[in-house]
Amino acid sequence: MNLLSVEHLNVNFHFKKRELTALIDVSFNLKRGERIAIVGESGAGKSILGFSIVNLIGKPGYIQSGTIKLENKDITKMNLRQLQEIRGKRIAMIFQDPMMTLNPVITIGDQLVETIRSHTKINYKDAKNIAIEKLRNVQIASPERRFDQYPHELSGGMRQRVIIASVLLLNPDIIIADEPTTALDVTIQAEILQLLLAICRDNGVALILISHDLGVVSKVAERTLVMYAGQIVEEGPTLEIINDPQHPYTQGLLNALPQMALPGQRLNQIKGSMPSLAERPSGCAFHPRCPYATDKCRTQQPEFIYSGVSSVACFMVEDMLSEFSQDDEGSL
Amino acid sequence: MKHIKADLTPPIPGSRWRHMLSGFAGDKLAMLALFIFLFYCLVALLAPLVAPFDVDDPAFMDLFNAEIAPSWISHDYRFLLGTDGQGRDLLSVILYGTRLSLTIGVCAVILQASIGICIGLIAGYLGGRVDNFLMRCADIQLSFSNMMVAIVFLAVFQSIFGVAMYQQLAMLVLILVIGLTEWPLFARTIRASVLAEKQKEYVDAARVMGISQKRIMFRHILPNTLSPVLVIFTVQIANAIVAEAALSFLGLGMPSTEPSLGSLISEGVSYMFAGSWWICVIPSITLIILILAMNLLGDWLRDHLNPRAYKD
Amino acid sequence: MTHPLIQISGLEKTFSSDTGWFGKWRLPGRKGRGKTDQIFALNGVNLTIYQGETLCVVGETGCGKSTLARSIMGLDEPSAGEIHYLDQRIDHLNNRQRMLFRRRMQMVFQNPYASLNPRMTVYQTLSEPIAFHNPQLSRLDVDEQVETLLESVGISANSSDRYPHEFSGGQRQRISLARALSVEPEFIVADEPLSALDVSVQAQVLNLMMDKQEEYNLSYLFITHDLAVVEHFANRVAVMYLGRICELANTSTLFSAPKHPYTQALLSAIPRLDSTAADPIRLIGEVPTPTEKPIGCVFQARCPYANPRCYSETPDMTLQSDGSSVACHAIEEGRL
Repeated sequence: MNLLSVEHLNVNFHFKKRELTALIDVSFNLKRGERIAIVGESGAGKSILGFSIVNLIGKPGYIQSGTIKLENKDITKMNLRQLQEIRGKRIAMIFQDPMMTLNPVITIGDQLVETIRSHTKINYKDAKNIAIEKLRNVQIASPERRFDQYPHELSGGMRQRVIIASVLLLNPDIIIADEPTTALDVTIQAEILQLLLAICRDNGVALILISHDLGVVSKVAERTLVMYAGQIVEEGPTLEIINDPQHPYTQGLLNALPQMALPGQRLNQIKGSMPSLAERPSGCAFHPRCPYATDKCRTQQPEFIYSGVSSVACFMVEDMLSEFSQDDEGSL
Repeated sequence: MKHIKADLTPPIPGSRWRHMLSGFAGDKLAMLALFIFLFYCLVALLAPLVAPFDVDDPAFMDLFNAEIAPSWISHDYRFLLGTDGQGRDLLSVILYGTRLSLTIGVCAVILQASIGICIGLIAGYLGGRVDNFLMRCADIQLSFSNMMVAIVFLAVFQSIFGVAMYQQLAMLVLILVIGLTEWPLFARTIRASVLAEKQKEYVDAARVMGISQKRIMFRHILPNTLSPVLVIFTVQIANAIVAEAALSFLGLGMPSTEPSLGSLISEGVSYMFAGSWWICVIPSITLIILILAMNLLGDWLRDHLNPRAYKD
Repeated sequence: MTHPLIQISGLEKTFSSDTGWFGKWRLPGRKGRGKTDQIFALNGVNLTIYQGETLCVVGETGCGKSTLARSIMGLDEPSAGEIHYLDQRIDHLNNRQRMLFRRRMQMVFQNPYASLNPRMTVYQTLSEPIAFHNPQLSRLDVDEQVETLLESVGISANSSDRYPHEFSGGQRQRISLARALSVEPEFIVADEPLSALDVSVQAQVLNLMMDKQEEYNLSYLFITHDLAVVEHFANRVAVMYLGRICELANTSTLFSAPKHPYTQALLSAIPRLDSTAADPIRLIGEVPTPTEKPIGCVFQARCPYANPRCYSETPDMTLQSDGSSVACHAIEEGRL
């Protein structure tokens, strides 16, 4: 059974003069203990999707239609108290900037203890022991000393570890990590990713990793969703998507990586840039940048189709598949 | 959530002026304030044309007509708002007074702003000892009460050069006194914004191009720091008019032959208890409406020029 | 290619927060803490940049790579050491003396949202340096040059009256590059020009930079933390750590055979797409903040091969058999 299933989710932003669509018909499932990644460039709507899952989308944004089911309970229909019950306890979030979650004027120890005590009846000393234990779990050296330090006394990597520790306190089922390593240096990034991976594996926690870096994604996620202009354009196992991308956008994204070209040669760039929400193109949103675009792409929205490798929303793949099956029939 | 929202805000085409104007249209109170302010400016400019009497005419002052109540009470339709203790038509005097008050207010604030902006820019951009020196000067200036400085200065001026001389130069002296006492407000605001702007890469880019410090300060940094100045500017005009009115009320402002709103009120107070309330009350209301409009305008500008609300 | 364009020797930069008249007056009790106000950003950097090459400087946050760039451009004055441009010494120049070199060396900045003046149109941004450095040009000539420049970086010339906020990040970075090219320099310092951009846009800007290098025979000093870009773009790579260069090598040599323990760790940490890559080498601890002048090797605290000599003696850059230079006692002694 699916732990989380998002179906036909539409998120809109309501401005004085116009209505902008941020997410269009987004559907995906997450099984218990599964690690998936949402990949896309800035403006693709991946962070909005992350916030929508816990119904944290703030004004002027709102969920226009669709359902988000956490074990058959629809998050979109919950009241504030039920939502608060879910946030943190069942679904936890990790942000790019740890200071978004940490209070700068309270020691990290007290913040952890407060989190524990707000959910379970336990005295300070026991809570402190649990907190130190968790800090040790996320490989923080000398946790007893760190316990009494303020967030600004820690480095960026250390703060992100504290966040992971605080997330683990309540044993969530799902962790949503929104660009957790973007602000960190490469060597620290590698350590945090390993830690995140180990924690999800050991505790059977499902992970939704939001990232723009395909390299990061390939290290962590089993399944990948590629987003473009508020829609999922391709979904499939991470390795398959990286080795055999189907959608022209995924292909372009991978080909644009410097390691895909010979040193000193020109890179394979995608022309243009991601459209803003206000000027979303008709039909397939990628068509102005797509080298294979036809008239059909300019007017009609492609449906999701399983290509044998991954699910893709693209007419070109659709046409190729139907040709393929016709050939098969012909030969029979 | 803030960063997401910022990304989603549709880009605003055109300059910030168009952005401001489109904001104006939506806010009725701001529209009203702007309308009142423009009306005052217009009246001040056209005072010689719209005033029913010519104030420079010697026949204007006629003690036979002294203390006539407004026309809706006295039914004397020669004087719409009545006359003052010297028999002058109150409407005409108020029109000319508004003209004087506004001129003094605007000129004094222009003086304040030019001094303050230059000092703030130099202090913020050059930093170090220059900054320390200029800002300590500002602190010293602020530690005196502006009113006290003005009173001492004006009193000394009057006693040295005599009242006759003072009456000739009253307007100029008032502009100077009010203008020179409040510059630290501008200097501090500008300095704070300059310190923030100085860190930005476009300043480094200009330095790398070899562009002179003066040009970087005035051409590159200054336009990016003007938003808060505009807010202070409007509010300060109101303050300067009030300051002038207060000085005049104390008898240190405009002479009664050339009355500003402040001197009118000051004069009117002595007639209050004699029953001629209008000589004091009508100029006061005129002043209050003007100050209120200016402050509303300033508030509105503050809300709309908030750097976070207006995204570059 | 073999002609040295810029030579840097023994460059040091210390930032100190004492600037004001009252900054140095401390309460007696705090005297001992006065030291912490200093940041040692560069601790003796030696580097030569050759004509027509792309030299990449890589390193993590706080390693001093941006300070190096700013020192070369004269935005920060070095505390010690010399910078030579061809045969002239260019550190400690005043603004007027530096003017001659402004035309020849330019800079592209990291943040495309802050590096263009928000209150100036693209036309104003580009025409200012052109008119400033070529006062003999007529207005029409300047207009024409701005137009050609914009077209050459792939921005349509009729958008020159627009303000920066009307452009996307990639477009702004193109405009920044156009501004740098407007004075026809021969050397460009690029301080993390791609880090704020998306992958597909990064490729566009990187391609543009390579095109321009070919067109004008530019030399680049390219500062980045993205090793994938380095591998693709650089001729030579300098790896920096805590204000010093610890390894300098040709790109292919560095990526195939990294020698310094820090370089090895850095390379192993890149998240690669192929799953066969080995697990990253774990370093002990984090990058220390450079509030004290380092004694010995800068990497001592995190190095798995450190011995007492590393804590007392600064390793020199030594030339290896494959042409790379490394500053490491362990390699010198054959322990690694």
